[in-house]
Amino acid sequence: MLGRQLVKSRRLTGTGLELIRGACSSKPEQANTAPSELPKKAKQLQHLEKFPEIFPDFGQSPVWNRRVALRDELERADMLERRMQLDIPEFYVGSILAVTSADKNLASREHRFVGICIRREQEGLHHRFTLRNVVEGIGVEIMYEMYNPTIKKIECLKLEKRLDNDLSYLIDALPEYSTFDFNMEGVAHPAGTPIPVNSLKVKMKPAPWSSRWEIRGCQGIEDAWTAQTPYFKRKLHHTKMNDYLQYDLIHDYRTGSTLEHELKVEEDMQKFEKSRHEAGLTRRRIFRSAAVART
Amino acid sequence: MLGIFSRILQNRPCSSIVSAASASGRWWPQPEYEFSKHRTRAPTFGIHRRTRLMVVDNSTLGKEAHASGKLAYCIHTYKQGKRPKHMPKAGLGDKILVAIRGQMRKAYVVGAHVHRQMRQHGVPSTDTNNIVLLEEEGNPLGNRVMKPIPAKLLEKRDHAQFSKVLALANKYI
Repeated sequence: MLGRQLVKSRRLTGTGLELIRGACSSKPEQANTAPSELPKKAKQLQHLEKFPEIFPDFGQSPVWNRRVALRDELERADMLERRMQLDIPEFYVGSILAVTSADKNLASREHRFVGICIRREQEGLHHRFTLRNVVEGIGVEIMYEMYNPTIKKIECLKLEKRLDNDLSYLIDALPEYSTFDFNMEGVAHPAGTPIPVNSLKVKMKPAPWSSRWEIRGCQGIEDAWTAQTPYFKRKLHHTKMNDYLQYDLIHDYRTGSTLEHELKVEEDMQKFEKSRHEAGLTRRRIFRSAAVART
Repeated sequence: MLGIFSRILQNRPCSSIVSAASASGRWWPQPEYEFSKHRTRAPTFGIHRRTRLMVVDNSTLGKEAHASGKLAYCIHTYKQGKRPKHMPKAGLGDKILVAIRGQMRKAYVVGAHVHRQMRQHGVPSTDTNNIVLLEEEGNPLGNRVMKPIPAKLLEKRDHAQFSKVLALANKYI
């Protein structure tokens, strides 16, 4: 993340203009000396600073060779169409969601599940999130593909973030941290306010666990190292998350999101929304961020 | 030889380390923990031989197994296909043979823990692998299923044996 911040600050200040101008150190006379259009475009489109966090499904694959421009464009078109039919609220890992999906086996033809979002994976049409809840003593996790047509409704009952982007460790945490009432009422998030971060540190069940959480750099676990068995501490590694990883600019470039891509997607979204509003097909705002109150 | 060992042992500062060292047979200090490092086989997905299972009906056999601490474990899966030294893995809704309290019983899997890469949309993955025990004729051993079971199992309601298990369930996840 720091690598991304470093690159972004260079873009928008004046000091690193070489990067913006695409200067070519081997043939400087052929370099493009015109300033970048991106900051102007960002302002015009009212670019969301945290676009990759709000719309992770509209990002590009973290694997460089899987980024196929044509396929991504076609998928994004389908995603926009689907968002016309289904209102997908903004949510993060750590938010409590209620998903109603169509089920032909049940008498009511609907299956409703409430749970905390523990992870969000994959970009594009295959974007999926997993909800976890403990029902009558049994921990249950259900994976939902966000753009699956059998989903009828997604409601965000509580919008909040946690200290981690992946709460898979809740399997090995005490069940009280994963228990949520199915009949809980939604807590409305006032538009324009920042997303609250729940800095809860969960207590774990006694080891053994399903994974070595103590070296994964999970901020939301209370003292995982002490709770782990001595067998895993024989080599005394405290973490796999080394401090230097945050300075890895190449990794950031290959896996992260670029401003150019974000602006392109935002432009597509706004054009789509505008065309649908003008055609009179819908009046609701399809793309909205809870943290930004737009005029 | 024995004299050397006893002299080395006498230099031990702590009696617990002495006992731990002697328990494993090694003369140098051993860490104190009770979990076994040994695996009978590499870990793999699905329910297979030696997978321990929780019984979720109200049968006395299941309750005794949980109380004694020796859970039912799978010994065979009734499924097509195998390759040498490998049994097919059981999943949600499959019939398996379990060893419980010294006897063999057939059971249906009503809750499977699925690896995150093998999960399907809308199909719940439970934290524990749950079973419902069956008797010799194939009827469920208990009267009720105490825990919620996935609604995906309702697809098997036309199955003669399985529908008896579904009749006992009262909550679907």
